[in-house]
Amino acid sequence: MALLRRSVAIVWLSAGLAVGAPAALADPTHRTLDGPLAFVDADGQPVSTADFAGTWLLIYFGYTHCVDQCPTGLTVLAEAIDELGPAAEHVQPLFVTVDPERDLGPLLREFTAAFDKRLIGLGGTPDQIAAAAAVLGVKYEKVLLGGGDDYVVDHSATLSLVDPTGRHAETFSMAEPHQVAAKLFDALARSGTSLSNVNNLGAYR
Amino acid sequence: MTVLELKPRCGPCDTAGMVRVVFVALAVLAGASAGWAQSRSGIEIDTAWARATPGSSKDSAAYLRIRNTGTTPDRLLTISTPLAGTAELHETKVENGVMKMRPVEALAVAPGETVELKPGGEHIMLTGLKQPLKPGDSFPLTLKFESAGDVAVTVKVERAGAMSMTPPAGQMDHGAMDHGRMAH
Repeated sequence: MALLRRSVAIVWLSAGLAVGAPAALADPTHRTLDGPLAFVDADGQPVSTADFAGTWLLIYFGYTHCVDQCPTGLTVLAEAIDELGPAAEHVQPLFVTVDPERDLGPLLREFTAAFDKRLIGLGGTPDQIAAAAAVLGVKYEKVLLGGGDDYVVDHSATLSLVDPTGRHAETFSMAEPHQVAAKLFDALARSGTSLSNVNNLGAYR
Repeated sequence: MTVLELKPRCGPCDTAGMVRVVFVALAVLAGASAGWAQSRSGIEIDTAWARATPGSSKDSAAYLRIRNTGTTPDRLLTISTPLAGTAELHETKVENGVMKMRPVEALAVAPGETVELKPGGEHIMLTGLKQPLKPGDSFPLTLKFESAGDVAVTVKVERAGAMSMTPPAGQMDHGAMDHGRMAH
C-alpha cells in the first residue's frame, strides 16, 4: 500500500537515538538510574520518580493525539494492574507524554483518567522527556505529515518498570495484559514483596 | 501492498460466514444473469465502531469491515463524517520496536475479499471532533469508493480503550476476545 512518504519529514530525533539506545527492545533491557527522573504533572507542578519511592513504577510513553496504539497500550497497562489484585497497591502506573507541547493541563489529566483512575499523566520540558526516555531506552521521533502543522510521534512499543529504590529499571516489549501481570508478579516476588494475599498466583507462574 | 484478511476466529462464526458467502455467491450469480452492474453495488460494510474520546480529546479512531461481493476490484478513496474536521485512513506499523502511524492513500479491496480495519492495523483517524464520542452513541460516516461510490454507515461508539465492537445482545462473538491484540 502506498504511503505518503513524500510528505513525511523527520524533524528531530530523540535523545534515546542520539545516545545509542540498545538495538533489541524485544528483550528486557536492564538499566541503572543515576538519579531521579524529573517531570511536570498536569497541574504544572514538578514531579520526580523520587516522589514515588517505595513503589514500583510501570511507565507507558505515548501521547494523547495517538488514537490507535496509545489507547490500546493504556488499556493493557490498566488491565495488567487489575490482574495484580491486592498486589496492585505496590505498582503506580504512569503515562509519560512524548508530545509535551500539546499534552498538558486538563487534556492530559482527563485523557489518563479515561483509562484508569490510578493512572497519572506526566509531561515536562522537551529536555526532561528526552532525558527520561534515554535513560529507560525508549525511542521517540516527531514526524510531520503533509502540509501544515499536523504531526505524529513515533514511539517505542514498550513498557518500562522502575523498582522501588528508583535505581533500577527495565524496558520490555508491549504484550498482553496477563503477560505484563506475570512480569510484575515476578518482579514483586524477586524484591521480597509478600504475595500471600494473591489467590490466583499460580496462573501466572 | 498490505492486504488484511479476515480469518475465521471460531467454529460457529465460520459456519455463519460460510452461509453468508454462499448466499452472496447466489445473489451475485442471480445479479450477473440479470445483467446488473455488480461493481456499483458490490461493497458491504459492517461492524463499524469507534472508540470514545478520552476526556477532552478531540481525536479518536473508527474501525469497520469492508466486504467486496462484486466481481471487480474497488478502492476506498476518502472518508467523511459531519462530526469530525477530518477523517483519514491511517495505518499503524511496528518497525524495530517503534510504532509508526501514517496516512494511507487508498485501500484496495479485491473481489471476494474482506478487509478489516482494527486496532494495531489500518484505522480511520478522526480529528477535530465537534462533540465528544460517548459509549453507546452512534454517528454517520460516509466511505467513498472508486467504483461503488458513496457508502453510508452508522458507527457505534465503544469505550475509550475498546479492542472490538460489543456484539449485539444475545449474539455470541468469540472474536471479541483478546486474540491478536498486539502487532507482535
